[in-house]
Amino acid sequence: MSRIPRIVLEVLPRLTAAIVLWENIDLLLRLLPRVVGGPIEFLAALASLEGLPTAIGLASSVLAALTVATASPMLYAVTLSILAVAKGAAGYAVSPASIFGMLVILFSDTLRPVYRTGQGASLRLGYRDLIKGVVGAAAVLGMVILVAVGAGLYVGRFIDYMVSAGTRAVSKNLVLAGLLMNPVVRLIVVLVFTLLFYKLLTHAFDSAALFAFPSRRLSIQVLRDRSGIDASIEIPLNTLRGMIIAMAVAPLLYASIYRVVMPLATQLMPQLGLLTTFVARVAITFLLFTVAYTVVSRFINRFLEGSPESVLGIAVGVAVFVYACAVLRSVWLGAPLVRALTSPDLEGLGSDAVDSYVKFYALFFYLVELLLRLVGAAP
Amino acid sequence: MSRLAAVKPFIYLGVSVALIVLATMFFMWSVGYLERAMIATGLLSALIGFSLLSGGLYALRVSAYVYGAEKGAEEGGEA
Repeated sequence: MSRIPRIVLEVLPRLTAAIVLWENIDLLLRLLPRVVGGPIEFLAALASLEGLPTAIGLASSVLAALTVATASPMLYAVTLSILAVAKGAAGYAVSPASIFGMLVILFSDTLRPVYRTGQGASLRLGYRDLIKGVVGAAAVLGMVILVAVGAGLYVGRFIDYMVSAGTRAVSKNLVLAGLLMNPVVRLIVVLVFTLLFYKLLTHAFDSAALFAFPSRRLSIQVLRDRSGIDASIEIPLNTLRGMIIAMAVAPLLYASIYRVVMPLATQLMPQLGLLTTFVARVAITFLLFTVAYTVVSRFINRFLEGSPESVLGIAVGVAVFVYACAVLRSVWLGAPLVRALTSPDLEGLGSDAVDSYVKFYALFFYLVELLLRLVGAAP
Repeated sequence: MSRLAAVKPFIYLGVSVALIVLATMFFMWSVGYLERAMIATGLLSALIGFSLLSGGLYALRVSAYVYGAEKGAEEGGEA
């Protein structure tokens, strides 16, 4: 067993990649005469919308040919991902043999730089060690396959549930149904889940490996430098957080513009009365939401991850501001100043705020539903 | 004192498991809210789930490294 020539490590991954990606390479071979015959017309045909599946197929075929040529795991993974997306749009699934092929390619790629023919001849392995090695490798590979297939099944089930929830919700809530059944949304959800599972699994495997084989040097080295441990899940976190805070802030801007600024402005320039028409209000609603989101996502890190003193200061400041607004409201409604200071009209302020929020979101969701209808995600 | 040092990694591990369980609960609630068309609540629960998950993973890694620092020392240093 020690005389495995090195050539096996070169041929095996390429053979596996060729077997798994055979259809793509076949597609490339079939399309090649057309490309060579008339490249300009071919490119023009590709650029049209009907040519899009062919374009994706051609791209994945070129990648497949490159994968077979170089036997690189990265290229293999990329080709497989594009293939999965393309096939998934057509309704097929990629075969599980591709995972096995990935393992073979990774294995060969790891061994290739360090293996020399006959290197194993000088080792004297007992049978127990051999069996331990094989069983250990099989256990690791089996776990990896199990985890990948399990995660895939879970995400598939989740997407099915989402789509069925969407079809059920069509009668109740058009916006939600359009959101749940849109293919782009499905792709985004799959990507988020994949990223999530990836981070979860790498952290879990790292920790498990360290529990099984503790190493003092590594631990002290990592514990000294905190950034090695940071396990923050960035992408969904930031977008969600920005959107939620923008959703809270934008109606306040809207209310301040339309209640306070508008009456003053229309006294000065009557043409601005155009801005109170329905279309303009919807447009300004959306604009304000975008502005709020951009501003919030710029400054949010400084606010939320600042020192505890600054956060406390901001919280106290907001409380004082709300109280002052309530006091102002009571004063405007004609109560004497002392009475306004001690028992301000918080309920009235609350109902005003609720009113402005409801109006803002009625306009906002009208716009969102309109957009979904234009894109074709809702009937 | 060395009793505490020996137990520390497992305390971190317990904290991490608790956080991850909480995160999973919040994710499931988030899907429930989205189904009932309470979009902002659903998004908020998803956000809370992500934060808890991130904290749980952090605690998991810390527990692994602390365990490595303790156990590795008993085996006599360099690995």
